[in-house]
Amino acid sequence: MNFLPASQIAIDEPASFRLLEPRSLEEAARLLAGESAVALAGGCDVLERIKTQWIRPREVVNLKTIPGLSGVSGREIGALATLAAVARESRLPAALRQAAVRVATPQIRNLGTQGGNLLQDSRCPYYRGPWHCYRAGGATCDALRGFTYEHALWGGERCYTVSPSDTAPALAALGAEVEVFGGGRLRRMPIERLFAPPSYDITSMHTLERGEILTRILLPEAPPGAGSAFRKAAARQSWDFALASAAVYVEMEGDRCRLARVVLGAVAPVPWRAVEAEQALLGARLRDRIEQAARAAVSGAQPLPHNAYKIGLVKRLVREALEEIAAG
Amino acid sequence: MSDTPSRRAFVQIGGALSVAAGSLAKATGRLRRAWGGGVEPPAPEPVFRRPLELQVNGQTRRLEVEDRRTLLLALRDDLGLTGTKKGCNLGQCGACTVLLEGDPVYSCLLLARDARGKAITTIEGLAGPDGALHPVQQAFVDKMGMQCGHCTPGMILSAVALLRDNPHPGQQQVREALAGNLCRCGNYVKEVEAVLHAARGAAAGSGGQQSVIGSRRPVLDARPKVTGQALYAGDVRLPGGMLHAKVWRSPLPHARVERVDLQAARALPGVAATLTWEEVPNYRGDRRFLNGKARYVGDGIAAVAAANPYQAQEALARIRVRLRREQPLFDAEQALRGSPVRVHAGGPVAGFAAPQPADQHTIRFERGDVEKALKEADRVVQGRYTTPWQCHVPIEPHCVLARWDQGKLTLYDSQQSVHNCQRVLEKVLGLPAGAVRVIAPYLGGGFGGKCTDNEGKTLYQGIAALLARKAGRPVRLEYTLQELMFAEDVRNPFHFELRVGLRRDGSLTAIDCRAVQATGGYASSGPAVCAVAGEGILDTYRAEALRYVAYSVYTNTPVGGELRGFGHPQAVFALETHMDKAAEAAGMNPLDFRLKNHLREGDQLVTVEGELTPIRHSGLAECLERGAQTIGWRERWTPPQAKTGRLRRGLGMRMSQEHSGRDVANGLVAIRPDGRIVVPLGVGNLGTEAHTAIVLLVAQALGLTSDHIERWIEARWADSGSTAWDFVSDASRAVHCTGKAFYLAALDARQQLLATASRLLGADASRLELRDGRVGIPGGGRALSFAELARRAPRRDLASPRHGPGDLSKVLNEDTGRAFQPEAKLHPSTLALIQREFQDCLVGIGLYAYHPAAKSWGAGFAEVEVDMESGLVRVLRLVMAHDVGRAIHLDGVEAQIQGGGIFGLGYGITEELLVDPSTGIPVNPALHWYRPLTMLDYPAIDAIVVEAPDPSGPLGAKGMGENPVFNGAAAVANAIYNAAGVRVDEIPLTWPRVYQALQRAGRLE
Repeated sequence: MNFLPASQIAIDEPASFRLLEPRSLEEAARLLAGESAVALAGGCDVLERIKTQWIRPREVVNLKTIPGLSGVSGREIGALATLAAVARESRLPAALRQAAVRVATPQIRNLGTQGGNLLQDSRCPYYRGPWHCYRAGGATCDALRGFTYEHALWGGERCYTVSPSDTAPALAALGAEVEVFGGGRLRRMPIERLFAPPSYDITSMHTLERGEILTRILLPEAPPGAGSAFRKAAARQSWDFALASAAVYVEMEGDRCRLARVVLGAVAPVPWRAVEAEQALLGARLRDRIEQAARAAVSGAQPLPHNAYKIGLVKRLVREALEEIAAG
Repeated sequence: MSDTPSRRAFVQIGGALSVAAGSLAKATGRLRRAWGGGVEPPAPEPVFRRPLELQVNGQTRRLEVEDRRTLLLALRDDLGLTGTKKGCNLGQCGACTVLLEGDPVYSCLLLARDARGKAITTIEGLAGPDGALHPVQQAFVDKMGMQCGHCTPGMILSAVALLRDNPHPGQQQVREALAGNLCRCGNYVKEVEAVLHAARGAAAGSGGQQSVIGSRRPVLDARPKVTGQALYAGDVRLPGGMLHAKVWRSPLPHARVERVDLQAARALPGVAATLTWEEVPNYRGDRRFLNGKARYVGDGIAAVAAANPYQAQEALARIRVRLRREQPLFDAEQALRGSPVRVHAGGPVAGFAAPQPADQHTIRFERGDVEKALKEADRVVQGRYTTPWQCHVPIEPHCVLARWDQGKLTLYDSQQSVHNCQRVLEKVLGLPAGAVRVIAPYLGGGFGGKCTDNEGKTLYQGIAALLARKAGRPVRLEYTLQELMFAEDVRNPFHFELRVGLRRDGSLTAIDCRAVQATGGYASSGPAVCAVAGEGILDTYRAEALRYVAYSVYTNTPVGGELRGFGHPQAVFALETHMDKAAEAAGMNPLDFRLKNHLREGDQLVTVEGELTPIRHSGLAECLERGAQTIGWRERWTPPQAKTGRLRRGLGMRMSQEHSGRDVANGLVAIRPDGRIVVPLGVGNLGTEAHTAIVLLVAQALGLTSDHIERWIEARWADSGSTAWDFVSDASRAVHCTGKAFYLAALDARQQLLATASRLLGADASRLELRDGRVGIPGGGRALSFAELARRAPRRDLASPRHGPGDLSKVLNEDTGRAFQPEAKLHPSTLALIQREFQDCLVGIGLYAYHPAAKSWGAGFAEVEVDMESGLVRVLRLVMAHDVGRAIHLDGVEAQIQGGGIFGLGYGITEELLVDPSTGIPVNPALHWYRPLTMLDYPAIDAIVVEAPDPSGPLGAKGMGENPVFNGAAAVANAIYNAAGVRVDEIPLTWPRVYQALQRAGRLE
């Protein structure tokens, strides 16, 4: 004998809100501290959720009116820079540009921002639908009882969603840091600390507190001979989130690998360091270790009922990324 | 921290759950947290409107809008610029693309306020002040860069942005630039060609062509589509405005409605009318447009109309519905084995007329003794195949605007079948004939999902109509993307069990098929689809003994309606994968096996009417040979055992037939006293551009050359009040059936012109010719204009429309499942139209009912690459050869092959609606999860047109719009086997499935 909510499928316009347009980080942080406020950057994720009314904020805080957050240079990307601007910037490393250009579509890249791409919410269809799972504040994972085609090979714990961002693994492989405005001041941290595994906070994909704002992404200077590449596998060649992705960064000493970072996307709740793959490359000529690294990249994978194919995908993508770096 | 928690309708929880429904019931917890634990919804939303200045197409426009207003709604509803189309409304289709400072963006994902101070360009801003088309628009006109046109404005703008940045792009660059514009008609090949044509600065116009039949020429409605002026149902604006309706839909798959409380909804400002299932009239069939028992998630229970969509949504949240859950049933086979669940009283099987018990099949056909033939075979090959739910997802979701005027109802609808829609709505609303008029000049794709041809459909128009009548104002009901994807009917899933008997020489003794289809909560087209799937199984191969038994079974899942192919895509996948196995069992190459065993001219076909008819004029052998040659089958095919390596390539093929329509068409051609020729087509304008082909037929019959068509012919379509009666524009019937009827009507008019001219000129009719609007003696002798002849010809008796022997075949009544012989008379509404509008005209009339032997034949070939490590499949090439009888409009025929091929490829490799097995809720009702193919997803395509004319078709033309859809699934599945040595007997052939097949077979690299 229940009164139940309607199926929500007939809703695709927002509930009423005020659009607030701060002119400074301090003002924005103050506005975002409210219980019912959300931040608006490119809108490619948050506006979809607002229109389908899975969230109904009373205030929407436009970050694009804050000056100084959208510039792009060879080592710095403003959080409000569009993905199109990132893809176009020839001074940025290959892996990041390759990742940025694979996001969604040209239209989304013209609006979507670098910061938004990193902070986007889980794309698990159960979480995004009417199921009251762990991530939505409930006490179960409905995907496990249903379809796990696109879920995690590693790092799942009660929740098995995957990190949907393409630029995140690339930036992690490049050793990026992020700058965050919070508590009235700016702080920096390695980009890995931006992402929240289920054990940290099962209801959020990132570690920012309410009122905090991502301001910049900073890249270290790459020594001569460094190389990077990014590869994405998706069922469609446009619009689709990755089924798996791989970003590789190497620093060479002569023809030997001195440092390697291999970061996988869409296979874990956070960008996933394939440490064994990195170790396979150290001290060797890249070409000699491609196969080994590809196989090592999938060690410890724990497939769910429907996602074992991702293991093969990861090997293929790591192999292709290494081949590209070795060739160039 | 997570985002602000969600908020939804208020709830009251109590009582135990009767089903294991996962965490769904606790969804309410999600809402209570948002409201601070309360159970009442918050007060009505405060509304913030502010002045806003936008720069649109070089002009400053001033508005006052709410902060939540998207740029899309501001452009369409506040500024009246409806050229920017509304599609998914969630940034997943691209129809709403506009240029912002010259860069393409989705206007549905942009707040209007966020666009201030930036130059906005919409499609309306492209043409010159004198109306001269932008070169990209002109190129789309010349190269048929559109089918239904709903993606066209957005795509043109993306192309304009590309050419500004890169005036000389290559093909790949064009595809990447347009990759954010989905085209469900699959017209990508022509769209790319159009952009390249514009980049080359090619001259406007396709040149004066004299020939009409088989020509390339712009479609009749090209200009309105490229300028955004084409008015789709959601673009229609009425003076005095309109209300907006929303439907309360069940969150449960099976539940009885105990109470609907509308009090709180009615108290909201702006709410003008409400409707519940109890107010819906009773009519024939198992379904109402609002139901008292929910039989699938999304089933409509109640509805509300309010002053704007925001208020309608808010009102929806305040409708309280008490539901009593019932045990749901999701498994069709379980229902047949025996289940206490009753989706409908009367039994689990959907019959043509009524629900039936589990041991009564929906349809059965048998010829010869199958069991004996299987025993006599040297070998029997068995197999089991599974196909999924597929969604139509046209770029335009369904939309209807209902307006009453003194007891008469006008529906501006996105509709493929205006005449049937009129008939059905009159019936269910209890209105007299002629009280309803359905107007649908443009629809943004249909694919069978917009055919309101019987009472078993959703009949959403009834909801809008009743709300409009109660409110005394027009009401618009517009689907959201999710409503489009599963509240409306979809393609039903099937299980097929096939057995074939083989002789040593590779010929077949028997084909035996048992099919079980999950038709969903209501029968809709389930039984008819079972019948047509039978056609698919039985009408391609030679075998003495045939048996097909099908069960359409009720399940608490989305409902099976009509979707392009109507049973064939499912059946062809099963049959052609199975026959590939049979070929291998016989030790034969798949091509040779098919060349040996396909039905030939003179062999008997089983029709959906359950009768036998001999094949005539089949171009299948030519399709097989030319297709094989094009892909290099003989030179390049090797068996799977010969393949090595991690990446393996393979070739696969399939063949099939398809009927050329169903039911009856009326033809009517009226020559006015001023000489203009009115061609009032009842066909729907869903993007097939059949109107253009039919007008070419009329022009041919009346001696008009292509240049003169727009000058002399006034074509209109898809208005039940001003066009000749037609059945539905589906089933590949428009050119073959309606075209034949209109061709006959044009010949009828021609005969009258000649007879009158002969009398007036005193010359024998055989010495006269028709040329460009005049009838006269060739060689410059005396001639009379059509105008003069129309004024002076005697009025024709309308009792016997022109038709030939064999032009009125028996047709299937889908309500009863039995065949009937149509009468040789025009439909009363056609006669009424002639009476109303064409009294002073020379009127030609024709009649045609499709001939079941007029099959289109087709063969498809695919080349794939399989990654043996991951199951990743790349489709490299698709070669499709189709026997169309006669190509009337060549661009249109190619567009159907290419577009249908891409549509069918999606069915084969990416598309499936996943229904959660615990709750019956579709899991992936979004385009980025459901995955219709984009501009970057189609392989190299060869479209080969073969002509084996059929005598009953107009100049031999057969239907062909569906056959290309059957290529993708089977050809790719067979190619995967050829490459990797594994069979995947379930579609779509996603990477996880291929990987699983490789793993099970121990063939993973």
